[in-house]
Amino acid sequence: MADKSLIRNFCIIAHIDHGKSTLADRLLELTGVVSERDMEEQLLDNMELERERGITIKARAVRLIYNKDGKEYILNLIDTPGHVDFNYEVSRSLAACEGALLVVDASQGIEAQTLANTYLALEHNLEILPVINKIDLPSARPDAAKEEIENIIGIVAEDAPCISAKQGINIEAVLDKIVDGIPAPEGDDNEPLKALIFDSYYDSYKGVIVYVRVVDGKVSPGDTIRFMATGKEYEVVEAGYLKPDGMAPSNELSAGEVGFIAASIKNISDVNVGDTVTRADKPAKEPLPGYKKVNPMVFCGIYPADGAKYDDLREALEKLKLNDAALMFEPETSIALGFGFRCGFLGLLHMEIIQERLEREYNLDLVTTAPGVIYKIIMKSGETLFIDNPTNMPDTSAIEYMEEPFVKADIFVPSEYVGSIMELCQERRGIYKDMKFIDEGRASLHYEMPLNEIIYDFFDALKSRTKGYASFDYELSGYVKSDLVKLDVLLNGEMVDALSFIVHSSKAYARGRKITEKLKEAIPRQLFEVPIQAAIGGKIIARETVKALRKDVLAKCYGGDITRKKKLLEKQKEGKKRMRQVGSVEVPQEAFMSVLKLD
Amino acid sequence: MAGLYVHIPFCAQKCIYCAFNSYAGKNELIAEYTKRVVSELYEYKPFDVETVYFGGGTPTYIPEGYIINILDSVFRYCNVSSDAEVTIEANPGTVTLNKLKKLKNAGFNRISIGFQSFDNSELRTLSRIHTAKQGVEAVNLAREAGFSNISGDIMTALPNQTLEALDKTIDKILDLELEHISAYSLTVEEGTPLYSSNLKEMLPDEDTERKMYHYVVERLKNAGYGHYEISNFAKKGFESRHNSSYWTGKEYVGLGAGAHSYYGGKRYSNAEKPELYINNAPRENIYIVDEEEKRKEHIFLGLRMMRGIRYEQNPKTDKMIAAGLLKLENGYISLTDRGIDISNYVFSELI
Repeated sequence: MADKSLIRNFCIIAHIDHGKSTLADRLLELTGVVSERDMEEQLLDNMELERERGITIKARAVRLIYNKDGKEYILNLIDTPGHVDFNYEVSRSLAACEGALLVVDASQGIEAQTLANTYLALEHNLEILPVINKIDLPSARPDAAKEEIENIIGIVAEDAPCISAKQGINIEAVLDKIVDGIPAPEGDDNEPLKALIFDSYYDSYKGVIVYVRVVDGKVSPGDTIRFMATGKEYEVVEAGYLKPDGMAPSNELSAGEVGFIAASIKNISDVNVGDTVTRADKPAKEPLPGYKKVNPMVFCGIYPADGAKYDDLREALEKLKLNDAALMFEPETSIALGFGFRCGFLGLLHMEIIQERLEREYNLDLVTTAPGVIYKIIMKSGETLFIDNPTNMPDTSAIEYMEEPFVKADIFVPSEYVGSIMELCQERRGIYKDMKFIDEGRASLHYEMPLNEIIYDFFDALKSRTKGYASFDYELSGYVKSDLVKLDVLLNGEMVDALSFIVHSSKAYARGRKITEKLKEAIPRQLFEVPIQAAIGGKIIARETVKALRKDVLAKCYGGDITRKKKLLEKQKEGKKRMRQVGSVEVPQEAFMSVLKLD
Repeated sequence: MAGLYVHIPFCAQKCIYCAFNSYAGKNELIAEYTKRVVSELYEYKPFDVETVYFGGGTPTYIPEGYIINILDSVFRYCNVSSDAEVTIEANPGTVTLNKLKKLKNAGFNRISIGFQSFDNSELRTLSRIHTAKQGVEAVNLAREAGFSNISGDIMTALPNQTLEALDKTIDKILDLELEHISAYSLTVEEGTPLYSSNLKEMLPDEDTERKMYHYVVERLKNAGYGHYEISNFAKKGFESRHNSSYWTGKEYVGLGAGAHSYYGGKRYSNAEKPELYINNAPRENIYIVDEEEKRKEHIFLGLRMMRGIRYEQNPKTDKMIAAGLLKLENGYISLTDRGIDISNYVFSELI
């Protein structure tokens, strides 16, 4: 049984590029678990995409051994995703820890993204240990960074270790801090088992691997466990620790420990992050607090650019789904795009990640439709419908009224940008709730906002208006009655189902104009003139025209031009392949995407 | 049998629209350069030559001795057929009777003169080094020197050009009773001074440009010229044999900087920069023209000629015919007027 007083469970909070992964690498190196030579740079971020974007998408955990004052300490580092879409997952990772390292760049100071996670950590009563990184840079101002931490977050930062993760300077001080500054876990080995699930992934041999933090009790191979939220029961095949070089089986995991459980689980939907694992024969009276079922909030249609790749797309989605319980998909058909899938995501980033992984890892060319949310429709018949695809919206004459999902949005922003952000929220139909000044330099704004307005590049707009300094967090607050209309797009007089979307009536005209303008840019000239119209019901609200192709001729073509000319024609021919025939009009795939960015 | 192209990349001055591999102010390279052209010729085994074409740049800009020296080498080394078409390009600002006589005597039997316009303000705009009058004089001198096959180039869709001005240029070129006329729509190429100049804003719009093109076609046809390629017109029997060989898939050897060859079943080109060319830089962009490439070339080159190519039934071709972009006559398909306007679209559909 592990000596709890020698265990430290912690995570790292840092802004992108402030050195979280590098610090993690150094901690691994220094605790001797991986030799420098064997180590792949930035071990924790092990998805290609994550590495490229410099963000961590899924949580990981690793167990480090550190000797101090003749004692052998077990340090469990739990990695956290860093984006608002995965806020819930972050909160579960934090709940598995007693402390957090707050890594701040010595030259840049605290940045917005860090703040939300730090507050989240404080909410979970984590001990926050500031670490000042990148002190090797000429522009480093460690004292200013410390002062900022004290002023903004209100924690003592005076004796924060000043390090350079990149150069390996002063890393031991961080390890000492973890041992001395983070409380050992509490918990009772003799109580019924309560283990918090903070992550999981699918292994093709062992089934779903469940990452847990044991809060009370013990779990061993052979135990029958129960997932309290789903009620599913399994027999534990293997339990153990997460070493950087792989899983290390153990006879048991006891209170305070972090590790994995494998129980031949085939369906990842049985294993929900935040759920509590208990023993079927001696169940806990109640689960750990904070569990939420995560539901997709953003939906879009995903189609293979090449219709013949439909099965490949389905297989790829199935594979991604194995590791991503939050991803939902079901088949749908579009007149314009053929066979595809309606997919549900936690948020816009989640959507982008899935799309990129499909394209990159599965080599698929995709056409995606504008993202939308689930609308609630109360019919005159009294029936209530939920629709996640604008195409399924019933005729307006049969609708009594509609409701759309609203979120509670918390926005942290430097004071000088408050005006600009209030303006943005207003443009996005936000309802002002209140504003608090965290200190003289920073405010937190609270708005009730339609989710629909957030999924249209709200985050990008927020960042661009605040030079990247704003951070943003939201949670669903419920459905609100709303004046919504379905906006259709007609190309050459024919409606294109894949371009329809639902929009608030106050914005319909502006959106209609914008979408026709965007499409005009995106659709190349054809043999005939192509009218592009936006319509609500039968009423045309905007129109643009793609003029007929008038001139595409090369005046001169002699001996020296032939090779170049042939390449140009081949390119032109290739471009055709990326076109969709929509009625009589050839529409490039990008056109379907161009409606995503309308602001 | 093959064509032979010789590239002379030197000019008195670079015109604002020019994207060719040509240079002003590199006169010091002329001697070395022409020497290298002859040595490049000798790198080939002696071959049969049907047409010779000296282009540029401005071949008549450099002292004619260099040109004649190259042509002599060609005659001595290659098997040039007795009825070969031997063309030299000329700029009206660079010719004298004496020079033209020497060139004629050396074996050139066709001269292609770049007028571009007979409107002095247009010529100034284009930064041409000659006047409209010099254009007319050049033809008179060429006739006097004994040239009985003369071609002239004009350009349409020039900055600020009106249909009336174009009409006058056409009148003037028709007065000269040339055997051959090339009429090119000005293409604004990236990297040229014109491309970055505000003159670009003064260009006729697409509709006017197409109107000008079709107007030229109509007037030249009415004057007895056959419209045999998108931009080329000739009195009967005076179609350029050398240029036609490009569109009919015949092989040719290109000598000189940046010159392209299609020889021995391969396409390749020489280094562009004269300095590199002189220093024996290796050939570039070498690729084999296999059956598939031949098929594509046959379509997009063959259809540039108004007589077209033999019709072979396939859905894309029939679609183009149905759309009025191709016409089918006597087993041949060829571009319609509208097909010419958007010929790249037609070609990209068919290749």
